Amino acid sequence: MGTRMLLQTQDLSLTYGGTASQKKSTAAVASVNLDLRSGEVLGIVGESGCGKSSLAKLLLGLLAPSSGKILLNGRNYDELARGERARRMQPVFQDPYSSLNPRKTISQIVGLPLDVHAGLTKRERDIQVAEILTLVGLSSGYLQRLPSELSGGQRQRISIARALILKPQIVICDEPTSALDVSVQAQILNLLISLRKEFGLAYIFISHNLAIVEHIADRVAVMRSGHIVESGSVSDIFDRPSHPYTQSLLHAALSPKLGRPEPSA
Amino acid sequence: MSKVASIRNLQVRIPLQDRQTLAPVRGIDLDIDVGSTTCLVGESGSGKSMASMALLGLLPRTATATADSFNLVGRSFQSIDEKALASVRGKDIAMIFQEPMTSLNPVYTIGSQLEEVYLRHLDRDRRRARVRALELLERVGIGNAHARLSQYPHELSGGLRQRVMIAMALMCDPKLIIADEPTTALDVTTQLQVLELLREIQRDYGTSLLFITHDFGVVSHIADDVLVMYAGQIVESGPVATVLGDPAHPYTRALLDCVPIPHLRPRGSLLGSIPGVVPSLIGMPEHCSFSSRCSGARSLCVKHEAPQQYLDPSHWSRCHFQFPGNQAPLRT
Repeated sequence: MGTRMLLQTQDLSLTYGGTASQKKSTAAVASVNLDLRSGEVLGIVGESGCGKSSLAKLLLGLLAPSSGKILLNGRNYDELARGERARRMQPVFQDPYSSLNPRKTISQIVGLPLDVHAGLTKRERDIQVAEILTLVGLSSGYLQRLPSELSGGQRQRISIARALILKPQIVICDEPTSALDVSVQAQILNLLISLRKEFGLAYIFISHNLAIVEHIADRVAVMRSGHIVESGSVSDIFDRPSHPYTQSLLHAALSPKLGRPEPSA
Repeated sequence: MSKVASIRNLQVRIPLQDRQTLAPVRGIDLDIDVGSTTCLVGESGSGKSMASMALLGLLPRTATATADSFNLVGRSFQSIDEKALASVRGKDIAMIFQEPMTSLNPVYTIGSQLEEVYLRHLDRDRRRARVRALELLERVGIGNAHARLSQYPHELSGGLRQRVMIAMALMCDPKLIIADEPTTALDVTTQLQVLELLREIQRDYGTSLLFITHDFGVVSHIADDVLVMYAGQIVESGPVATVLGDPAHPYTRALLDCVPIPHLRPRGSLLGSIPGVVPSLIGMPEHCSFSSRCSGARSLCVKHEAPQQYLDPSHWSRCHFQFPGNQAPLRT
């Protein structure tokens, strides 16, 4: 695993409200310090409203921070052009139904980042789109289809293909499997695990599902009310949680009890 | 033990265009003991919601439901439709849905929605309805219940709204509560509180629960019995410890392999997966419906439907090769 620092936040904060009409302000993200190294999976867990999706939007540049800094490869976001950031970092969102344009074909959706950023000939573009589809386990037969013809799992594969087509270093996954059935969830997690190995990708993996984060992450940050209350290696957090909030989350998470039952008397 | 539900060969059919028929429920038997919790598990499109809607008489207008026998809450029903079940729906059989935001009416207060159920089924006295509503809001752990009665659903958090749904389900002292993914939209800590509440209510009132979920963690926590549904059929049925601990049907085993389980699956390892997709339920084959995705399928599986075979008196499954020594290889 590489150790080069890819992404770093310094006292990153996002405050909503606080205007004349809305006197009380709410800190959705409060002084967050995170770092992501190359090839690493950083899991972010927390309950609804803890600020994890706001954090994802800040990292993607979809929201501007109220204060603090984000550094990508050591350079401040402000100094980087949008296109430069997009080539390094791409999102995969939760809802595969609302995150794909229903009126565009799969080829248009997956190829759009290339059209915007790469300036390829049509032939080169089409080859790359077909290649990336194969990589996520879909045949080129899907190229001219519309999202409405695809299942939820297939749509999430399209989202992943679109995220990977510019060969980014970082993929920000915001609840990427929450809308999916367990069997499809397993396929998508397996795909993310394999792609990470193949391309040395780094993920920021945001989820409220602790078992999934424990399964896929190398390091974990636990968020509550905009703050990171605890962070550490996956075994620090899951085997030796020190913060009471982390402990209460782990206590509430229900895990299936498998294995042969004791023979009853 | 006496049963709150005993249903044989429940079928639901929905006619489509081009003379095709969708069969989301294909001959299921359902037995729920009084005071027990039965979990119905299955993926989207397995027919689990349609089966539960049939018990409530709330199927889509074009759907028809039939059964060889249909005994519910101590009564035998000849027809299974909205009209026939109206007298028990909301009274002897109550329901709790997944999304408390969309299943509460946004323009009525919490109080009027709770009281409506009582006024509709039990007695027309508004004062007694209000007393009952207050009592139940307190019972489900909602503080300041008096003030809550005049609040609207949007003023409550998701966890509180689900508690209101539970209070509403309890208004008429139901014998059976059907809960369709009642905790899926909730955070883990809230989910645990709601599950504990349902358990307490069951203990205090002897209510039976039919709990629809796809979360095996929830199943382990709450179920007495488990029914695994696939392509409109129940493929395995038994006590929770047996079905999860020693599953007989290849679908149950494959589904459990897909779940990331701490301490059981090495971190970062590939999970099990089931190739292919859930069949469309139109023109279903006469043979085992899981055969096209089953790693252990043999020629018999694509010729004949697997019969319901008992492994012990409380545990059965529908697989030609379910007996030990005969099983399809389990993925490790």
